[in-house]
Amino acid sequence: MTTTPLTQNIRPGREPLSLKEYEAAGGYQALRKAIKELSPTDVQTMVKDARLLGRGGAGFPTGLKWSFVPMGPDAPRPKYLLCNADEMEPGTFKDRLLIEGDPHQLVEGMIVASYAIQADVAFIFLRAQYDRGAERLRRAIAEAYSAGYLGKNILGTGFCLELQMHESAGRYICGEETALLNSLEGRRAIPRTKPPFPPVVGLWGKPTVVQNVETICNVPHIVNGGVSWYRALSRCEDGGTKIYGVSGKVNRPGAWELPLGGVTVRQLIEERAGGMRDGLKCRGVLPGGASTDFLVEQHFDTPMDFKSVAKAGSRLGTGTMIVLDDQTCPVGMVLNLTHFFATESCGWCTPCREGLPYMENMLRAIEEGRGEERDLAALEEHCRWLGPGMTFCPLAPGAVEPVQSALKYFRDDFERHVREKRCPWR
Amino acid sequence: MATIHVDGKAYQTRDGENLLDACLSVGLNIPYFCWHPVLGSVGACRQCAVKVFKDAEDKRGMIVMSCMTPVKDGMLVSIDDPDARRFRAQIIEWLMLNHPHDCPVCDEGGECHLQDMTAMTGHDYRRTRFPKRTHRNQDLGPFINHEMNRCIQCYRCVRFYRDYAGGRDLDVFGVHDRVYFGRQADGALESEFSGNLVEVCPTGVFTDKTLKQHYTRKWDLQMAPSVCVHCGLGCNTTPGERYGTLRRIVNRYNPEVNRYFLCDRGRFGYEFVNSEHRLRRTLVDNEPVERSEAIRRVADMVKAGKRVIGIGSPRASLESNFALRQLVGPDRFYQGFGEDERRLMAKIVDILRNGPARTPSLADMEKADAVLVLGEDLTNSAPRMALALRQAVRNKPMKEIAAKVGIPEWSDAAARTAIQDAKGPLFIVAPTGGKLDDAAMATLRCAPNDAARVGFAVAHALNEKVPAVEGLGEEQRALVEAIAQALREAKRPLVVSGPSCNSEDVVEAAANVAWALCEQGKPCELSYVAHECNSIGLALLGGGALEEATAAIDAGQVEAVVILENDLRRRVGQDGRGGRSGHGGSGNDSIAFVLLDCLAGEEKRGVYLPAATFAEGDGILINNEGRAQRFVQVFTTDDDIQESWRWLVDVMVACGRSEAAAWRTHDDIVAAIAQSIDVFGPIPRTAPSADYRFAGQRIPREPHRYSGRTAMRAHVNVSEPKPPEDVDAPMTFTMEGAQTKPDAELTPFFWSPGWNSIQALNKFQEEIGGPLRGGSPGVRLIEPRENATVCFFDRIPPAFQTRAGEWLIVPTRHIFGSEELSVLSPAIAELKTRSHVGMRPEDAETLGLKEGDEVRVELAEDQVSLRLQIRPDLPRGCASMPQFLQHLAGLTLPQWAKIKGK
Amino acid sequence: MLQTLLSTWLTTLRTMAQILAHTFRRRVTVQYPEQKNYLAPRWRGRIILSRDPDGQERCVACYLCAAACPVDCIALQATEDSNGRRYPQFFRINFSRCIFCGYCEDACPTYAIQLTPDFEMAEYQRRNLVYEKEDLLISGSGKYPNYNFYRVAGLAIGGKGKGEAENEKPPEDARTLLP
Repeated sequence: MTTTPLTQNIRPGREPLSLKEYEAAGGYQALRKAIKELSPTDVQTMVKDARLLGRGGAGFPTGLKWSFVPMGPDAPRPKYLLCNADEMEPGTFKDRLLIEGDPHQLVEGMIVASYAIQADVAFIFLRAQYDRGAERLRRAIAEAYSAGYLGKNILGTGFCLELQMHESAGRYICGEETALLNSLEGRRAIPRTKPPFPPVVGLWGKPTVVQNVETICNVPHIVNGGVSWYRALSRCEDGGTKIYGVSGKVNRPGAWELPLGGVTVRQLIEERAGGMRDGLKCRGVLPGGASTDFLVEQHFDTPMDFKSVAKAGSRLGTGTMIVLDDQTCPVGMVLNLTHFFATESCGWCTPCREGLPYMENMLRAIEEGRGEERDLAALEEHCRWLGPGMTFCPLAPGAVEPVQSALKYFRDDFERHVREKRCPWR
Repeated sequence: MATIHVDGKAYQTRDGENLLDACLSVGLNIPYFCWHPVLGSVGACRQCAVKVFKDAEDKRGMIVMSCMTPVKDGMLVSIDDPDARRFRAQIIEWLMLNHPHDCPVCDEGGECHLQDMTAMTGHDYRRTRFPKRTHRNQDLGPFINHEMNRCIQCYRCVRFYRDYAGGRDLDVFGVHDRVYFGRQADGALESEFSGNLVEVCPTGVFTDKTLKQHYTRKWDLQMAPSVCVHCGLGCNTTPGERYGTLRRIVNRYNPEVNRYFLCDRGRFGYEFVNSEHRLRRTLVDNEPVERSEAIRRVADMVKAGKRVIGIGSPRASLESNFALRQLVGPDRFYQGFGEDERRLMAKIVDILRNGPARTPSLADMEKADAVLVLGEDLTNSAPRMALALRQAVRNKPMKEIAAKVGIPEWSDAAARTAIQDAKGPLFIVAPTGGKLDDAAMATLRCAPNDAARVGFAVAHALNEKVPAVEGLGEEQRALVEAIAQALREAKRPLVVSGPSCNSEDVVEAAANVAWALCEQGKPCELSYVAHECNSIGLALLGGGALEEATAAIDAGQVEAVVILENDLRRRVGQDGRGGRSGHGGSGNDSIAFVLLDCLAGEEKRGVYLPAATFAEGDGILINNEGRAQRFVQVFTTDDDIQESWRWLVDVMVACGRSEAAAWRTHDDIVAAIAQSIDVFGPIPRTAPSADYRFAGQRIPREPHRYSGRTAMRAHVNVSEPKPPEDVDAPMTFTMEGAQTKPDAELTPFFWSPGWNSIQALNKFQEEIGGPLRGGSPGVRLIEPRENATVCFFDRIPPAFQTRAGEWLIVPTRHIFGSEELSVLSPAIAELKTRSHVGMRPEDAETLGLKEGDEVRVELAEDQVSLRLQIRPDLPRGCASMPQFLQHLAGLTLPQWAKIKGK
Repeated sequence: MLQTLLSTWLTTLRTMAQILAHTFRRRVTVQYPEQKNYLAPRWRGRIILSRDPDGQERCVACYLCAAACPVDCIALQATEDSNGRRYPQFFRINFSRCIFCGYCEDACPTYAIQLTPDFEMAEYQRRNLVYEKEDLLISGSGKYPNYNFYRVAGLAIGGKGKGEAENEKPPEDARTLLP
């Protein structure tokens, strides 16, 4: 069997597989197997045993999440499965690859996952800008409906599922699962109070599971290949492969499906991304999208799995790293990121709504040579008071991660800005 | 109960409560913004952060938001922890980044929650050097001023306006630090409860626009505990006066009645007190005379042996009505209601006093879990009750959905997420639609007769002993079944009705429904709306109807008439059908008229005695629940104004009536009422008597920061006069007196050190949202009769039949317009409903009419020309006309009429 | 005994010497009113209401002076012009009560109320000590020449719209969906 199950059918530069082609390549076999041979609990157990961690950034065990969903005849109906395809994390483009490259894989994953939690309705919440993905998904869903994989009485088993695609109105906060629920309900996209968590009280108050695209795409392969095969794919205790990506001033930016934990930061940059562009040096990376802490030279041999990256002081996040080279101003970089996060704050809680723009103001002042010594202390303070637990949702804690690590690793650069009253890179 | 340890000290609190509520309840100070005692917790502002420790070993602890943290027994909490303090100071710094430098010109200044919380956290230095964000304001109508720059984005306004009060037109726009709270476009706020934004907003974004016309700081207002006079619910208020004019009204928390909120009529209707239509001098035949002279003239008119009648008023205090009744004698005292209303109110009082169903307070109504409203558009006839019922519909889903997944009631956002659109049973059966309809499970619009029939049928479905109703339609039968089932399953069922349909059948049907359940041992509550602030008190007092009085006048049996605070034109119509302009219509100049009123009439023949409003006098009003509540004089005037009961007592004394000689103070007359009429026995307990002293002192009406005492009258006389003495209440008209928190009935304003805003209320409650220290103001006079034998009403009205070419005109009431005093306030007048006739769109189309056309309505005795308003909410065969609006006054509705285009 | 006698003598002598020495000191008494004494600019005398550099009334009728006054001798009523600018409808100080403590000046957020180095306000009639706004308002800006409250306040008034005060950004557009 393949070692790159997620991307095996992706043909770069060409249209994705049609339903026929996908079926010919062994598609929808997992669905048949799950729905005909396995009980929903069996599928849940398989996913749990396969140690599939959520690929959206937080790395929450998928099987565990599913186990919170009330099952059985007394469970509230309808139940919902939501695919979070609102991929707006700066530097992250792995879901797009999967959606555009192999939409049927996602559709099949949605059906199998829905079966596992006995969902009645499933939604794919797609990022506003993913027009091509929307078109391809729409086609794939229509094909799946006409083939009887979706709708009433799927494959004659009595299992019913309606699958809809919803295109987002375009807010980063919709990537937070409860804000996504609010947005889907037609409300303001602000995160919800937790607890209750969505598996208990979710979309329209009903049990709902929200999963990332990549997570969902893994599900059919677990059912097809079995738990032990799936676990063997990885190089760490958690199962499966991961799509890693590199962006920044490297020779070949891109994304690759590799065993989870089977590659280090250095290997990704040097071997997969073809090294840094002419003469540049890598000063640090944001390992999993913009809302993770910087890793620097001393961490470059860390294997890219959830635990190891956390031990190095950052998060694997989405696994798609942004590379900072030595000719780019780190202050300018974190200013740019902070500007993004400040404007994408939903405006619900004070620290995020007011604190991020204040940080942006200070960073801009520093970058433009108007910075003061006290700004650095104030920035550090902000990083603390915008940390986990202080805000309503994880947006702001994620947003300050690059700043706090930049202040730690690139402090000289900040101080030079203040001292010289200008950006040394300009 | 749970024990929590806060900074090393143990406190007893309720289990499962949130930590913020618990800490405030035991008197600790934690700053907060987005939390509100009834709006619950949402965790948006992050201001109430405290540190919680796992156990005694845990030295690091964890910062949590106290409003989102449930209390657990043995919890270790620190409010004083340096980290928590720094975090809270940081939050305030963030909130103040864009807050304008406006305090001196901001109406909230001096009673601003944001100022209080800023001082509490110790944030006193502005570090930022970056420019401030600004916003444009909107014109939100005559009640509310909008100043968006000051917003700290606590989201309380939209949570109150939309989630709590059901408004639609105020919302939040935009994202991140640009969020904007306002309307889609400029325009008056549509909700009848918009005035509460003034108190809900922690800073000066939403302020009282009527106060702005004569702006005064809270500390400069002379205040006293009062009761709203604009409808029968008796909401408690705090009016404030300065320089002899009433400046504003704010809510006065009464845990049993209005709790935290007022309606806009109650809040903004106060300006009639300052109106130019006020009667301020004693007049005889339109000429000012000395008070003593006027009293002498009246005494001559009503001397013993003369045939004098008295016409009372449902908007005058119990004392005034009683004094009039004593003056003329009980058999010559007429209630001042029209015949229909008198009969209805007498019936209501009889049902409540002799039946088994209890009349609930507004707070009880909020706890009901199934409600039937029969024949009332509550938003217009008893607005605050509509708001209470809007909360009641949440009880069932709260219990059945949210509580099941472990969401506590205070976790507001989570509860609303779980409940979504689920509603508890609220059924509205009424001739017209209303704003409360959107909270109802089902509504039926039908003619009054049919509404009564539905009520009778529900009662029959609940209890076989109630006679059955024949010939109900399919739709009605299904609804009856649904209502009966909901009421049967409920733990606290409630039936609401009232006199708005002017139908005895509706009132009886409502009683039948409640009794049907009571008879089976189920505690069903029964509430009737009362239209005026003392309707129930007057009904309890008894007396004839207005028509009987006019008949007596017409029969020439009367030599003098004393009319008490009553515009008779509104009740029995003008020109020739009785009332002030014709003085009874007989045109008989030999009859002497004595009028006591706060408003000047158009024709001034007779003796006019200027009566005090609620702000210038003391009295007791009895609300629809049967709760006697005391209003205390707010300020004194230099005019001739005094309470009507004082005028009448003066007259009685001048007539040489010995019993009245002893009635010098409010306490005296209250004691006399309690003694002479059984049902009023408990009224001396409505408030402490005038010789009561709190901590050995009287209670000051003025805050201790009251300013300008030696200058405010200096332009008249540089020597300061002695402050007026209060013989009626244990209070002073100065700032001297007991500076601690007095009894609930005598609390003139809510203020506590460090808490200048109205949220100082926290310090006056035994626990947050609970009773006030020293009990809830008011005494209930009406309790259900124990072991009453239930005697069901069995007169079922015939079904409504439409008539060709005729419409049954049903009366409508309007929050802004139907009440005579509040419409004198310019702000209310701006929004008041104009006279109109309402028709169904189909009917209008048949007649070839459109909205705004002038139509002629041919009534039995009258013809009126009115503008047409299209009302799709009317039932077939019905049209509508507002009751009590100008030149529609005195109409007997419902009645059949022909409607023609011009 | 002897000691007491001695000390009494000595003190008497010392006192006499001191008095003698004073004969040669410079005279402190001035021939008021022909001669005026020097009064420091911050001397707390007659209270005035000043105007801002644009010549408008500085007082915004915030009532803080009245609240700060320990003898409650300031009474005023706020009102607003058609452009939303606040000013006192009347402003009265009862100088027969004033103790010239200067708290009103300290409390004033707009530098409107100021105490001046002038104490010549004696009257035969107490009522003449009641000063109205016309008596208090001067045409200059007093001790603080450049301050203009409305230039730093967020409130829009005639001639200054939203976002036009010092250190303010232009008003936000609540409707835009762009970040």
